[in-house]
Amino acid sequence: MSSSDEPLLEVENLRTEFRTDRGTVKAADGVSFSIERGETYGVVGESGAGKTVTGLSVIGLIDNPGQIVGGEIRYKGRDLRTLSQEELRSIRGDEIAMIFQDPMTALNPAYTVGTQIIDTILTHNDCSKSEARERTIKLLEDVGIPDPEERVDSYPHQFSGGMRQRALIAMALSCDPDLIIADEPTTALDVTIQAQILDLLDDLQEKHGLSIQLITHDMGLVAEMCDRVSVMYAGKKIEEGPVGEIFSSPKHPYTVGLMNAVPRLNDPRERLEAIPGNMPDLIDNPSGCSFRPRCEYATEECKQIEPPLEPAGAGGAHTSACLKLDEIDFDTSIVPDRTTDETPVEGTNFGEPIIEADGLQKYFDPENQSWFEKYLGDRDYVHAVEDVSLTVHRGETLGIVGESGCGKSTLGRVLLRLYEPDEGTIVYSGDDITEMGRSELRNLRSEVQMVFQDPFSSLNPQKTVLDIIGRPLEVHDQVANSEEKRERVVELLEDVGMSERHLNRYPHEFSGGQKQRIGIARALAVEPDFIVADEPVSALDVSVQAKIINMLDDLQEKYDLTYLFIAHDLNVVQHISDHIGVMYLGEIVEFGTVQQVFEPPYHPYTEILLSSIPKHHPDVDEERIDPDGELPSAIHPPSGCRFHTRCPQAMPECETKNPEQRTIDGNHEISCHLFDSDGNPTDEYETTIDVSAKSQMVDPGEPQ
Amino acid sequence: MSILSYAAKRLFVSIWVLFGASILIFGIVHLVPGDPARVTLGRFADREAVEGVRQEMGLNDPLYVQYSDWLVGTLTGDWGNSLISNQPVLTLIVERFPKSIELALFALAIAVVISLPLGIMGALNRSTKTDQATLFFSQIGIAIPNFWLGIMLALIFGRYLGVLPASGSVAFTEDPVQNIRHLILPGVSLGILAAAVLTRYMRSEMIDQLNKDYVTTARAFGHPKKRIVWKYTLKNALIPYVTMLGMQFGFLIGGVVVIETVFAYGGVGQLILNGLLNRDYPIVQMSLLILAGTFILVNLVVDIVYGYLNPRISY
Amino acid sequence: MVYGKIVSFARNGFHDGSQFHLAYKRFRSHRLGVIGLVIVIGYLFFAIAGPIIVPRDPTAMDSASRLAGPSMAHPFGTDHYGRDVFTRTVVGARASLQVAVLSVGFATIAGVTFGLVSGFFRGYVDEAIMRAVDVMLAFPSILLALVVIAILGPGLNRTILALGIAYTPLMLRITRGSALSVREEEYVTAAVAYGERSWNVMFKEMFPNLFPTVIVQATITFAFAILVEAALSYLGLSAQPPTVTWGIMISEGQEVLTVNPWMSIFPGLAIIVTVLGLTFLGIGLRDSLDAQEDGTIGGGFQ
Repeated sequence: MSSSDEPLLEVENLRTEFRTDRGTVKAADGVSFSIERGETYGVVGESGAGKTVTGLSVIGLIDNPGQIVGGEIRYKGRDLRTLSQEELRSIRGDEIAMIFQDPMTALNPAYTVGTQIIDTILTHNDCSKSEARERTIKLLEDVGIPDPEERVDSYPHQFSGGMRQRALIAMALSCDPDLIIADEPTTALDVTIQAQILDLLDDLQEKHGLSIQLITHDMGLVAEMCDRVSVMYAGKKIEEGPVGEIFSSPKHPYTVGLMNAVPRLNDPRERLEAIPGNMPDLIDNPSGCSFRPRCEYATEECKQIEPPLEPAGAGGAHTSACLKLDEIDFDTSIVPDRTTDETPVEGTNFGEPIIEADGLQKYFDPENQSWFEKYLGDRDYVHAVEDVSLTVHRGETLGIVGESGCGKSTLGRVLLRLYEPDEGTIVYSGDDITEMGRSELRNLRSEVQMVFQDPFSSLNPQKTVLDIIGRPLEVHDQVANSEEKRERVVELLEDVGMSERHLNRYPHEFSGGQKQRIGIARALAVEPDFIVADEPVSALDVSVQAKIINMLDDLQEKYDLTYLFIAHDLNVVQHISDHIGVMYLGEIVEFGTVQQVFEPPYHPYTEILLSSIPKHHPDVDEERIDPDGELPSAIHPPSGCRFHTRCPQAMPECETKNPEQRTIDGNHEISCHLFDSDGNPTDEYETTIDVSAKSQMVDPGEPQ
Repeated sequence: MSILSYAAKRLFVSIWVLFGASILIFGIVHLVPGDPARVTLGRFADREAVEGVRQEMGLNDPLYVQYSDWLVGTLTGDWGNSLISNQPVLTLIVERFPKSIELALFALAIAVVISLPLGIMGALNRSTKTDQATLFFSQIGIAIPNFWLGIMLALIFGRYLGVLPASGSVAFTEDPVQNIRHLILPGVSLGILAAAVLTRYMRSEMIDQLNKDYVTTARAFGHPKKRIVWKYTLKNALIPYVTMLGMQFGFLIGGVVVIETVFAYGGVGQLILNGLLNRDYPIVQMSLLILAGTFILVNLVVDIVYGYLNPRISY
Repeated sequence: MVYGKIVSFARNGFHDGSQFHLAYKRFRSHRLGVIGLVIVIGYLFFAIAGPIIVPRDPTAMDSASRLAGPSMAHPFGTDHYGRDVFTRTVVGARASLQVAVLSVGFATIAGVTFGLVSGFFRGYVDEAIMRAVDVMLAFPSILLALVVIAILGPGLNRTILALGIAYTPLMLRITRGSALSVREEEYVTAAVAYGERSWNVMFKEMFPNLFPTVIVQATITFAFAILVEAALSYLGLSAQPPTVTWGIMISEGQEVLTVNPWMSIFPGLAIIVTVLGLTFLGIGLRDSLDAQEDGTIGGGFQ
């Protein structure tokens, strides 16, 4: 029988494999961990580390071609692997529940949210349907779904992403489980929604005494949520310990690298520490330590011996799998945190304006509007970009930041006239782009370029690297023959850290980071002056992301480039940008230098964005402001100030009057009724967030 | 918005398509190379007779007048007379149309009865012998020409075994039993192809649904397999199946032209064929219009059912 | 599936060479596809070389042996004029090939061109094209073919045009569907962004990525063209005797069905084998090219 001091879940030496044509993928290779009652246990690692498979293995959801080939999974003392399918089924959902990454696909589209939760309750409980319904409504209320009595009969597609994740959480809670496995529960969500969901999980955990296994790639989430954490790499657990200890004194080179690679608020704009190379694919794992090929401390010994997990700190709770545990001075290898004081003076003397946009507007047809509706009655539009004006100076990086659906990508494309603006002018180096004819526009294409988000979609899978990078050269007659083309492409490849041997390969032969490099080389080919980079690192793992950001910085210096850098990640944007524009629902609500935007006074939306970022160290104590609700529809945007529906400081006039742009100081501009015509905050303005607090780290080693 | 306004929208689309189809069919006579009047009368008619027919057919009016006259006539039931037998086209079609629809519906019923269980069975027993048998049936069913199958079935069951009538038709009101007996052979020959296509479709939709994330969710929450298959995935798979059913009905309507000839069934299909062979344009035009109209109507109904079944549809 | 990524990675992972090289390797081990290919090659051989290699004249009458069953001399028997059914079946392959190649060729070229234009330019161009397609799709394809035959009259060449027109909206719709999704790919935007001409974007960037879909659908359409041509010539709306087609042979056989059923059976079997070969090939191509499919094999192509 289980005693109360025994861990709730104990996984020992779990090995899960997938048999494929190319060999056996060892997705989980001897993973052990245990989760205590009431604790939040983090599993962190980059994609392909085996985190999800570990979670699925626990509840026995591994199917062909996958198989759990070894290990024990003891839940309350019972080995789940020895249970029958029927016994296992009665545990799933009832005692162990799971929350998945993508709330858009995790719910059944053909049944109401209520039906799905009621079914779950009825599966595991002996109660009537109406009791189950009552309970479901109560649960929906608990997870913060407004009007639960009506929403219980809504279909998943009628819920926003955040609402669906709340509904899934309600389903997970429906049978009072003891353990919830949350697999990247907020990855698909915007940062403000993520903050709401994390708060909810925190509250519920306390209320129901839950244990949570949080699977994530985001160290910030771990810092925010977890008690203990294990770091996974290539199917193995390489470090484990209490969160505070892992963050203050990590004892594995990979963990250190992972933490150094994350750009943080208010770090100076210098090079990020990147980890070289990529994670091995799990088929041809190198012998010995699997991190060895990327580790600067690796020696011959690391090649021979697979490092065991050994105690790495006082108390034995902290373990690490590194042979050099005692040799490496981990304390000095951590890049220390910096405060704003050290931030170098930002260059404000950039060149002449390279892009001046005025009153830009771009509307789209909504996807589900049928053709005749456009011509009959009132035509709907998606107001993607609404009256945006901005200036980009030569040599600078302008960051555009905002949540998904705010129109930032559209803005980037309109600036290059990849979308025709409906209204407004764009002047590039003195010429109005919107007036250009076809041939002028084609010439312009050799001066302005674009880098894309998704490395899987940005390269034509049917073409070789030579043709992908070389084609723009041919279009603009910049090379005379194939020999010249080849030479120039090799040059470009070397610029982005690749080499001649990649010339005749196809995109699918490269990793995500390499593909992104090829995409950047293609953009550089025509020697442009201005590059729009649309979320260029958001699809990449942290360690790769750092390398690409560094490279973009180097290239800017080398070729005197001007960037418009679009991203949803504030950390990344502030790291690379000189100026920042914050977008909300098609409008730029705040604009200024990085310092201006990240210091009070803020636009209330900026303030919320800043406060939503997960903290980067568990000991940082801070307050978070949650916005009300979610991003409204861009088809019928709210009247007055578009942000008023979510603004914690909204006033009556915000609902009716569109705020004017106020100049706060210099070129710091905010569109908000909380500022008077001189740019001074009115009496109603209050701010709770001080960013400097966010980055101030408590002295390591000193217990809180 | 309600299902009603959604239905109204679909109706609007159907009317547009029907309008386009009527122009296309109206155009038949005018697109025929040479003078339509001469074509209808044959090569040896004298000039006066041709001119007379031109007047009668209104060929000297501007095209839009001709079209609107034709459209008004069509809508008011003035469908003209057969150029060959001189019988009113309306009478001919009203007499035969119900027979053809009955045949197509019967074939559709056969297709549904075969494809639903077979498709689900194949998907659930993926890559087993059962699944392979299912796939084999659907491959063969697609490859057999329906008219040839009709001939063979008539030979076996009509001539050799003598258990079923191999040609003709009897009205349901006259003799229900004979009516069904006469339907079986043409219905099966017509329905097998649709059954084969629908089986494949149901199987692949079902497999598709079984691989969806929501199934993983349902399993992670311990739902019994029965519920996951027969409730959760089945409804999702049936939604596209219904759409496919509508399309198949259209092809069955096209198929009646061939099958009615095989079995001398005496429906609209045979009317079209004889019209085509005899260049009897009023008959061809009206028969094609009524079949196209039926297809459009069926698709309208299917769209509305789809909207009703599928909660994701945006009204 | 949650871990679908792992499986698809292992399937598509870092292999060497082009996508078509990989497709070729996959096709080689696709049993059904290879069987299909062998049948199709046999069919093409008989259709092209048939009239030259057959031992007899397909129209030569032998009044001594009429309506005979299969024998050593006449493996498929003889018809009511004493003509050799085997010879006629071999020769009949040509008419079906002629109709299928030309009509599917027409439909593919027209459908792909308009589909690409529609999917690339979107907006009003797409609207105009799709509204016309809506109307054409109001007719099941065999009825649309009948409309064309009503205008042009019966005949083999007219059947080619009729089927070509009837299949165009279907090829168009499939091409447009994939073109719209490929249009969303960032490499297409990239090509526009570096100043590639529209025509090149459509045919050099987009088309190679639509090719799998197009080739699979063309193969399946080919099979249905053979079926429909047979039906039309059975009805007497396609080629006229003395041209030999499978449909005509079945129709002639139907009149003497009780005396010599073999006359109808063998051309029917020839159709079945050919169509099976083509659908097998289509499935093999689909699986090895990872092509998208519009519903199911042949779903909308009757």
